[in-house]
Amino acid sequence: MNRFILGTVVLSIAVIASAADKKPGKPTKENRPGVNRWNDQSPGSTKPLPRPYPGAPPSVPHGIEGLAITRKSNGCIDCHLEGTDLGDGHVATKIPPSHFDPKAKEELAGTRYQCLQCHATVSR
Amino acid sequence: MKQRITRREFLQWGGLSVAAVTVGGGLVALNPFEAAAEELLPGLSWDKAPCRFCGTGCSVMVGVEKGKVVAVKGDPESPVNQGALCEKGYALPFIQYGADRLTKPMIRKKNGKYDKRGKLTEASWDEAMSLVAAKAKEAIAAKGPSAAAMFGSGQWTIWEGYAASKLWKAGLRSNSLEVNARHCMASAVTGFMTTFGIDEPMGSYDDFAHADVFILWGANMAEMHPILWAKITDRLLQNPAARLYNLTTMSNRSSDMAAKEILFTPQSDLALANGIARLLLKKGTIDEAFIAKHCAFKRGKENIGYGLEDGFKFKDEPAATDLAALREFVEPYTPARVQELSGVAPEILEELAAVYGDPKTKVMSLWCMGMNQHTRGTWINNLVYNLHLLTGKISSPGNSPFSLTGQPSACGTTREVGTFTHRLPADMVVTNPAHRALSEEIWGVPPGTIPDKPSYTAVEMLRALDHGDLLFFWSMTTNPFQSYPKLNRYRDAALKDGRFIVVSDVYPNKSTEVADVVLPAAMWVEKEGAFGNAERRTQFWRRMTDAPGEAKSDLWQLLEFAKRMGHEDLFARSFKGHAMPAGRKVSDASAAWGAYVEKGLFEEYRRFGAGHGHDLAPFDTYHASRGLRWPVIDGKETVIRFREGYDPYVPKGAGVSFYGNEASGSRAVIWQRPYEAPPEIPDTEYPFWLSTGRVIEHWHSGTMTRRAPPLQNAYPHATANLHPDDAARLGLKGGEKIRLTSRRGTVAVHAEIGGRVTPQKGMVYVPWFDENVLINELTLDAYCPISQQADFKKCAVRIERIS
Ligand code: SF4
Repeated sequence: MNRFILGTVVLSIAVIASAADKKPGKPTKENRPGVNRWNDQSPGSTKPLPRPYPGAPPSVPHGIEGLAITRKSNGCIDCHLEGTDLGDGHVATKIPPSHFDPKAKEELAGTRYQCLQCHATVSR
Repeated sequence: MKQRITRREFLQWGGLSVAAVTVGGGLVALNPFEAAAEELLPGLSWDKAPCRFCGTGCSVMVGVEKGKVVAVKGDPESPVNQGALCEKGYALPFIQYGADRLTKPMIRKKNGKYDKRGKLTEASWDEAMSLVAAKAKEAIAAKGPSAAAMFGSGQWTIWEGYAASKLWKAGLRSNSLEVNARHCMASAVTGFMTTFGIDEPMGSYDDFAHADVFILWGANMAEMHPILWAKITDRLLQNPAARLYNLTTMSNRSSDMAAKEILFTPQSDLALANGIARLLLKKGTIDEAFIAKHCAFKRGKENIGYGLEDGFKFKDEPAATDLAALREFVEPYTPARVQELSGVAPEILEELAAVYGDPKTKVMSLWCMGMNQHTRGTWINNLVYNLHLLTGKISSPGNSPFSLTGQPSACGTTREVGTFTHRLPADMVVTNPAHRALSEEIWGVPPGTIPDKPSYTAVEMLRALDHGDLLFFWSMTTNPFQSYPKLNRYRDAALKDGRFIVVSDVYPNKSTEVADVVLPAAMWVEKEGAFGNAERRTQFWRRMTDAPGEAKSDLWQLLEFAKRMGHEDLFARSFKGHAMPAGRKVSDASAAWGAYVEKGLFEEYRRFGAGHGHDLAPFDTYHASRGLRWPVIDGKETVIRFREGYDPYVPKGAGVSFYGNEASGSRAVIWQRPYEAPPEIPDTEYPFWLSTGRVIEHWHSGTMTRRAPPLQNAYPHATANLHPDDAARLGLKGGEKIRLTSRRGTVAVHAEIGGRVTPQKGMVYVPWFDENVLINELTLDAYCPISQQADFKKCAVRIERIS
């Protein structure tokens, strides 16, 4: 069992690009490949990845359209503050205490309010 | 507010269950408390390092097991980020371990010999460095010292930049040293130098907790400076009276927290700033006593051109004016005229003027690439400083015009060390005889060694490569053949016969594609390093892992090259007396020289700034701290410059002193700078503005972040963001493939409608991280004549659907 899943994730996802040229000859841009050709998916069309290592923020496994984070409302907190049971077999992950203000422990820290800064999305 | 939870709910966290996630067949127990990383990962060794990515300069704790970085967490002791990181920071454990990491030098060969038309073939370091040195000598012999160029980076460590500067200017006697920061911060530098006579912000991140109003001038901080955005968010949530205005050419995530999103026509920020200044003067909401004591007035040349012709030259001719002349100068910028140019309604202009003009409101103006990558970049920097100087809102907590930086060490390395063609360390310049003399003395080289004229700025450098005046071009820690504007011309130039391109990098990319020699580099915690962030904070880190294969640090490469160019002594004398610390491997460079080369270089470099406003602490102090903001005097950092009580350089009783402008009585300069149109504006043939930039997930050209699965998965490729009305008019749906074409090139890209960025009507936005969407083939290489920084935000394109 690989406790440190990092290597596994890298190997299974990264596409090995060839550093060597395929067609020697006239030096044009076209015959000098060797760059990372990854995938051709649009943002929002990929599947979420598992948490890469303990302590890393989990990625957002669902779309975020319509869930704006503004001064007055935070679409993420609506479900994640309580860990709401969505009734379809999914339970929203509860926000951990580390995100709460160390002084006023009952309040989500202002510096943790922008959820999408740390939690990568698979959405636009 | 919705983020409030009750005490009872908080206590429930105590019994939180441990989540389990399946990965690659194994079961990994994960606890959602990120602060508990140490407990979850026993046996790791942890050490601090600044983040490898943006200019915010967060500190991360790096967890290493068996010689590999396996985890990071936000450094709770860092005043910059207090334990938080953005998604790029959390992806740091991936960046060293992409499957296609470069591990061996490569030379383009045919039949076993170097050949420009050959194919990249593995070689030994000795063979590769011999060829590099021979080609540099050949170029210098053919066309003089300026024919051999180094193109470095704001991602170089401080000592790498310093070694390059010393080697080029004192060793090779060449000013052909430039950095990617020319494309990024040059207008910020000329803005500081022309207004204050000394580079870098007077304020610091401490200002975020004091400001009442934040005004973003073309900076999407929500994506580009995430942890600083978190600080602003915190302030806005804590203080209901605090407000944010997002002045922008496109609707973006930063608008979500704004009291008002203010869309303006590209380039019209010049008119907006002058319009606000006019209203301040009209209403008398200026600080006359401050102006009388601390400001001077100047005007410069007008109709200054755009640097589109090769070899373009410009010299400003500043002339003294006064407050009355400024009043007259801004008079044409009436709200009606400003609306014509910018599209911003008169009442909005009035509101902004009221904010700047209210003596009780503390204002932070913030900007980055929107103002710097601008054909009038120096001017718009000057004009925003004008607003803070006219109102005296500067150098006090929360009153802070703040020029943000893009790269992790654009400040620490390129600006402070001065790795530009015209610069020397500590704000000195090669054109000043006294500055050259001091530098020659510290470097121990004879008078007259440093050439007294700059050679090429970044754009001119590759134009010279195209012409054949420049024959040798070595890039380090940057990807110029993806990042330059008008890329087709410069990629073609690199492929011309007789041009020799060396690329030191960590992965294959668009620059290694055109390289004659590829040198595998060590990165980040594979070496000992130092970065300087946007708030003047110098941060050090130690080597934590080995570089893979035969990869070597840029510092090792530079010093090895120095030896082969006959400049071993130039460096050997810097290292004297700096023994390696016992019991730890510092770096490949230190091992090669048998001395603590990082310390030797830094202690020598420190001499340049000591005693004139750029004081740095001794080397060891930084290893023992979470960074310090210069000037550091008697062990104390400086949080706010130019203000008595904060900055020891301000004479007693002066209150405020802009001592960078000593010659003009320590006064800051209020400049008369007009609105002038950009060089290329949309027309019937090319009806759309094109603006380029970044997304939160990716760093610059994506060499690192496109190999970090969480980031690459979140934003797999670049899109062209369009306004829904434009899309409807063109009959386009989101996700459809379109072709963008400018007068210089064409790319195919997916359209994106209603994503996180919605440009104003008549504009398309494309991030530049994706090597499969080389958007810089379309951009224009026009630049600000004063800073010589190119404008990546404005050119004209047309859009066609690919059916
Ligand atoms: S905000 Fe910048 S420095 Fe901080 S973690 Fe993100 S990329 Fe790194």
